[in-house]
Amino acid sequence: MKRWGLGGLLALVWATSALAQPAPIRWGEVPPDHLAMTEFPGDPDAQAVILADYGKVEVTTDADVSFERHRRIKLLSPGGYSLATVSLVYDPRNRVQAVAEIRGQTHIRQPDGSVRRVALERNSIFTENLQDGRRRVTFTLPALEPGAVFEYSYRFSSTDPIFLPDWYFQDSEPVLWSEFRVEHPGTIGYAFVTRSTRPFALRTDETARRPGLELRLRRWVAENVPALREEPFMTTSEDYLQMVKGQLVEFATPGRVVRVLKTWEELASVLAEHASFGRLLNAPRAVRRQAEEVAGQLTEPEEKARAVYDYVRTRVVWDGRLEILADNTPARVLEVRRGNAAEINLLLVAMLRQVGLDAEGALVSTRDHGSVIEQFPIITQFNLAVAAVRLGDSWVLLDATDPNRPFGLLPSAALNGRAWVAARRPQWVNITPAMSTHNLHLDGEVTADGALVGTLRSERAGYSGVDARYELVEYGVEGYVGLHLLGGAAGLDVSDVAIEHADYPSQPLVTTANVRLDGYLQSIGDLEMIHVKPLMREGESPFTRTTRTFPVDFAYPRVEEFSAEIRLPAGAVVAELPPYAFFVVPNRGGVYERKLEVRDGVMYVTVKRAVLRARFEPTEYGAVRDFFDRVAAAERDVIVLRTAPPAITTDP
Amino acid sequence: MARSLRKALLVMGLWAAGVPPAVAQTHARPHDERSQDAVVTSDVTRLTLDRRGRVVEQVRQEVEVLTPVGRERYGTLVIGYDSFRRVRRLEGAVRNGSGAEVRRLRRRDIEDHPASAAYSLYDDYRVRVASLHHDTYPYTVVWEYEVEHDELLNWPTWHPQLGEDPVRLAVLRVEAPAGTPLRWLGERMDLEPTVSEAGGVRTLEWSGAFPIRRHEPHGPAWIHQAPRLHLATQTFSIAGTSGSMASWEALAAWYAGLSAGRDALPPAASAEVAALVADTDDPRERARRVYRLLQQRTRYVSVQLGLGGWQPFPATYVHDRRYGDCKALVNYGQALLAAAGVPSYPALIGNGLPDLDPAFPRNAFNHVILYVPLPDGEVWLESTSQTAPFGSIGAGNEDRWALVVTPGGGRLLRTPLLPAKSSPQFRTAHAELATDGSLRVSETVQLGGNQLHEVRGALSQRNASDREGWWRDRVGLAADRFEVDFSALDEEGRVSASYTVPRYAAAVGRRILVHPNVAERWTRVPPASPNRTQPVELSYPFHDTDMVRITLPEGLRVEALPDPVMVETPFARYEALVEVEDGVLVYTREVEIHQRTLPAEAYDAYRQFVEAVVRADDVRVMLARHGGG
Repeated sequence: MKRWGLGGLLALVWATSALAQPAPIRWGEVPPDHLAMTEFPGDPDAQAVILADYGKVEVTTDADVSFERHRRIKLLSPGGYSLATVSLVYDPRNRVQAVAEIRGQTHIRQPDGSVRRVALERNSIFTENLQDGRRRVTFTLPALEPGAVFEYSYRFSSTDPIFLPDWYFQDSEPVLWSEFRVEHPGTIGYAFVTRSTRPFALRTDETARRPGLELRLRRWVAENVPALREEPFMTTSEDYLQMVKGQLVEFATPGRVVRVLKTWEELASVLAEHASFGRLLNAPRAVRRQAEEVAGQLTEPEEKARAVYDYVRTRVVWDGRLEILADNTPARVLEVRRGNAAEINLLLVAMLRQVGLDAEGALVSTRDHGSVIEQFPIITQFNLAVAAVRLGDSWVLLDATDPNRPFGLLPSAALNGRAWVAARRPQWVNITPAMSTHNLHLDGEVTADGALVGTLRSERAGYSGVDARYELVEYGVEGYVGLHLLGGAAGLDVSDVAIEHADYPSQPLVTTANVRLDGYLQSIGDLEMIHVKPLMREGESPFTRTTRTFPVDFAYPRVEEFSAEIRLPAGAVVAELPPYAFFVVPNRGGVYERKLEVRDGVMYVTVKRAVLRARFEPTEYGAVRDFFDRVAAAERDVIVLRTAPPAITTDP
Repeated sequence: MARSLRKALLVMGLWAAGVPPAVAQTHARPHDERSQDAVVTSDVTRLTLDRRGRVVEQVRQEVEVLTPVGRERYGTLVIGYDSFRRVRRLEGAVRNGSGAEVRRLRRRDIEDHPASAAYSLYDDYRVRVASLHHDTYPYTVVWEYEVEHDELLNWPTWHPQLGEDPVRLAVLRVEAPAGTPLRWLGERMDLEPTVSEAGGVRTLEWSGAFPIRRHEPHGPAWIHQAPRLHLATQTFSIAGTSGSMASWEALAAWYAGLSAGRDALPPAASAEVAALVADTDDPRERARRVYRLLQQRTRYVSVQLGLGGWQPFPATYVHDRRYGDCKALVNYGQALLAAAGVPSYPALIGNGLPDLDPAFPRNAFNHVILYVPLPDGEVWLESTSQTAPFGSIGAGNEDRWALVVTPGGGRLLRTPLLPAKSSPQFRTAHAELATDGSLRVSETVQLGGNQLHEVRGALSQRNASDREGWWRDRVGLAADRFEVDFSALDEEGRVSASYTVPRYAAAVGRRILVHPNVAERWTRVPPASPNRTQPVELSYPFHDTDMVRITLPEGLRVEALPDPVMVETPFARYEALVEVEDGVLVYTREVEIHQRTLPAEAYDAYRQFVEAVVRADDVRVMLARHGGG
C-alpha cells in the first residue's frame, strides 16, 4: 500500500491529544520495591515478572504508523534471561518499515542500596539482512543477574497503515501492567478484535476534536495478568493469550470514503484479483498442456483430481515454507519444480481448473499459528494456502507439498479448525482429520526353546502411513521394522521383509516379515509366562503430569488394532489368564478392548486401542490420563503357563 | 548412547508420539538396500594460491540423480562465506537423461541469508543457497562455483566424498607458487598426489574414487567418517595479524598474542575474588570456588565478527556485561583464577569434531576451554556452561587433543575421558506395595560427572513446575502424588522424590506380578546391523546403581524370584539381583558402560548386551496370597 497523498490538505500532524494520559512508565524510573523484589508469591513458577509493557500506536493523517514500545522486566532466575534477548524483523524495502530509537538498560540494586545501571551500547545492537529483503535487528541486555530489572524501548514505523501490531497482554511470565494505546485520525477507520477471558482493567475509546482534525483515542489496560505456559499436546498458547488485534477498515479522502476491508466476500474478491493469488490461476499454455496431459482420457472428476494431485505431489519439491501468497507463477513453479506451499497448491488449483474441475485456493491457519477469529476478515490470520476442489457436493482440501501424503490428507500441522475457501462466494470448510490406522497381525508358535516364530503383517494408513514412509527412509528397513513397527523388543530377529506401496501413499503401507522373538517364553520360578502382546507394546503413558490447563490436542484420531494367533508349546497348561479388558474415555473419546482366549493350545488375542477424537477439554484430562495409564498396564499383561510337569504343587 | 537412546525411545511410541514435524523434506521410496539415490560422476576442486596469500577455490561437480531422495540431496547447494571469504561465481545446470541441458541456474534461484547458529547472537557468517530440481530420472545436475579466501589460516579442507553416495571421480588440484612450503594430510583416504612444476607454479593433484557408504545404526556422524585432505602453509596472515602454523607452539603463540593484555580485572573484581578464597590455601578449592563464581556471574552470548572469531573481548568487557563467547569467558575465567593465585591457560579445542592429528599443525579448533594445572593434578573447565560440575567438560570436549596456550607458546595436551565411575547415578528407593497393586516410592538419586552435568543442564532454565515435569518424565511412570526436591542438586548433586504409581503390580488370576526394577528400565534394543563396517558411538561412560527395597502388603508372599543376571563384556557390565530379606524384596541393579566408542565388530556384542539388559530389566517377581495354597 502506498501513500495516499492525504497530506496535501493538512500538514503532517502527529496525533497528540489533550486527553492523552501520561505513559504508565517513564524511562529509568524504576520503583524501589520493584528493584528490591526477590520473589513473586502469586506464581512460584515465575522466573521473571513483566513489570510493565507499554505500546503506543500513532497513525498520522498521512497514514504513517508509528509504534513505540517500552518493556520493563524483573529477573528472578536465569530461566528468565531469554526475555532479555530481542529480535525485531522488519521490511525496509521502499522505506515501508523501520526500527529506530532502540535503547536498553539494566538496573541492579547493590548491597548498599544504591543502584548500578548498565546501558545497552549502540555497538551491541546488530542488524542483518535476511533473504527476502527484510532486516533483523538483535540485541541482548547486559549485566543480567537474578534480581536485576531491565528495560528496553524502540520505535517501529511503517508507511503501510493496513495492519497494526498485534498486542498480547499475556506472556509466559506474569505481567503486572500491560497497556496498549492506539491514536488515529477519524478519517482512517480501524476495527479491533480482542480475545480475552479476563476483563480489562481499563478500556476507553474517546474522540478528540481539533481544528480540521478528529482524533480517535483507544486504550486497553490489563493488570496482574497471570502467566500462560505451554503444555505438551496443545495447539499453541497464542490461542489462549489475552490480546487485541487491529486492522484498517476504511479511510476518507475529500469527498469519499474508501472501504479497505469489510467482509469476507470483499477479501475474496481482493484475492481473486491479487497478482500473487487469484490472477495466477489463469494458467498459461505450459500449465494447461501439462494438466491436459496428466488428466489424459480420464473422465471421472475424482480420477482427474487424483491424477493432477499425484502429478504435483511427486514432481514439485516443497521448499519448506508455509505461505499464503506465491512469489512465482505456476508456470515458473512447474519449470523449476520447486516452490513454497502457496506456489505448489496454487499450481495445483490452476491445473485442476484446466481439466474442468471447480477448484479454488483456500486459506488455513496452522496449529502453531493459532486459531482464526472468523468475525474478522484479516488475511494475516492465515499462514498456509491449500487447494480446494469441489467433488460432488463438497469441497475436498488438498495440499501437494509432501510426496508421502495421500489425496485429501492435509499436513497434520494444518488440522486446525476450518479452512476458508477463497471462492467468489467464500465458504468455510471444516477440516475433518481422517482416522489414522495401524493394523498388525501376527501368526506364530512358541518353539520348544521358548522362542516365538511366525509371520507378521502390518498395514498403516492415514497419518500413520505418512509417518511410516518417513521412518522407512530415515531409519532403513531394519530400523523401521525393528524399532518403529515392533518396538525394539529384546530377542527380535526379522527376516524376509517385504514392503508394499512405499511410493503409493493412497494405499496403506504394508509390511510383511518373518519374525523370531527369542526368549518369548520366560520362566518364573516353576512356571512360565508369555506376553499377551509380544510386539509393539504401549510404553508408559505420555501423560505423566497430574493437572492440565489447556485442551489436549492429538491433531487427528487414531486406531491401532493388533491380532495374533500363537500356538503354545505342546502340553502347556494355562495357569493364569488375564481377563477381558475394556476401557473408554467417555463421550466417544477413546476405547481399548482386548479379547483373549486359549483354545486347543492356541492363544487368540485381539486388541483395539483408539483415540476417537482429536481434542479433549481440560475437564476430560483425568479421564484421558487414566485411560492411557490403564492401557499401559493392560499391555504389560502376561499369561502364566505351566509347561513342565509340576513337581510339587502348592495350588489346591 | 544407551542412556540417551533409552530416554529418547521412551517417548517415541507410534501411538502416543503425536504429530510428525510439519517441515520434513525427506522423500520415501521402495526400500532396497542396493538401490542408489545418486552418483557423483565427477567432483573437481581447484585451489590456486597466489603470491599475496589468497586462495581461489573453484569447484565443479556433476551428479547423476536417480531418485527423489537424490533430488533433494543434490538439488540444493549451500555455500558459506564471511568477512574472509567471498563467493565469486555460482552456476548450475540440469541435463536430462539424454544429456540435453534443460535448465540453467538463474539469479532468482539463489538465496542469500544469515546462517548464524542458534547459539549465536550475531556473526558475519552467511550462506548462498542455490536450488536446481528436475523430475524425470535419471538426470544430471552440474554445479560450479568459485570462492575466494583472503587468508591461509583456514585452508578449504577437501572432502572428496561429501555424502554417502558413490563418487566415480574426485580430483583436487592445487597450484601454488613454486617454493611455497605446502603441507598436506589425508585422513581416512590413501591417495598420493602427483607433483609437477612449470613456469614457477607447482601443481599437486590427487584423484580417486569412493564407493557408496550406508548409514549404520549408532554409527558416527558422516563428518567423522568422511575422507578428507587438509592443506596448510607454514605462515598465514589474517585481518592484519600474521602467524605461523609450522608448529603447534607457533600457532599457540599467535593466539597468545591476540589475547595478550586483555586480562586486567577491575580492582573490585580482584578484591571480590580475594575475599572469596581468603579462607583456603588449597588451589583446587580456590579453583572450584572461582569456577562457581564464573558460572553464576556470566552467561554465554556469542558475537563473532572478523577477527572477533579469534580475539577475546577484554576481561573488563565481560565483567561489565556479564556475558561473552567462549574465548571471552575463558579469558575472564583466567583473570579471575589469576586473582585467586591459580594459574590457568586457554585450551583451543575442536568440540565434537574429529580429533586432530598431532603430527600436522593446523587450525583444527572451534572452541576454547580452560586448562588449570594444579599441584594434585590438572583440571579442565568449560567456561561457557553455567551448569557443568567442576571438572566436567562435556562429551564433545572429552578425550581429544587440545592446544594449551601459554604465554608466548603452547603445546598439545589430551583432555581426559571421565571414567564411568566419575559419572555415576546412585538411586536408593524405598517402596511399599499396597494390596490394590499401587506402589508408593520414595527415592534419592545421587548424580555425578556427566550425568549431573546433563541433569543440571536440562533443569537450569526451567521453572519449578517444568522441573518437576522433567523429573516425572525421567522417572517415566504415570505417578500420582509426585513430589520432588531439587534443593540439594546444585551443591550436592542429589535429588529426592516420592510418588505413587497406581496399578504398578498386575494381578493375574490369583497371582500378582511385580517389577522389582522401579524406575531405571531399558526398553528397546537397537536394530541389527548386518555386515557392520562402522564403529559404534555410545554416549559418555557412566555407572548406574539402583537399590530398591519393596515392602509387601500383609498376606502376600513371594512365590517365584527371577534368577540373578550378570553380563560382562569388555565394554560394559550389568548385574541385577532380587532377594527376599525379612519379607522385603531387595533389588539391586548395576550397569556400567566403560567406553564411548566401540569397534565395528563389537556391534553385535553391544546389541546383545542391550538385549540382555532390556530382558533383565523387565523381570518380575511372582507373588501369591498366603493360604491360597
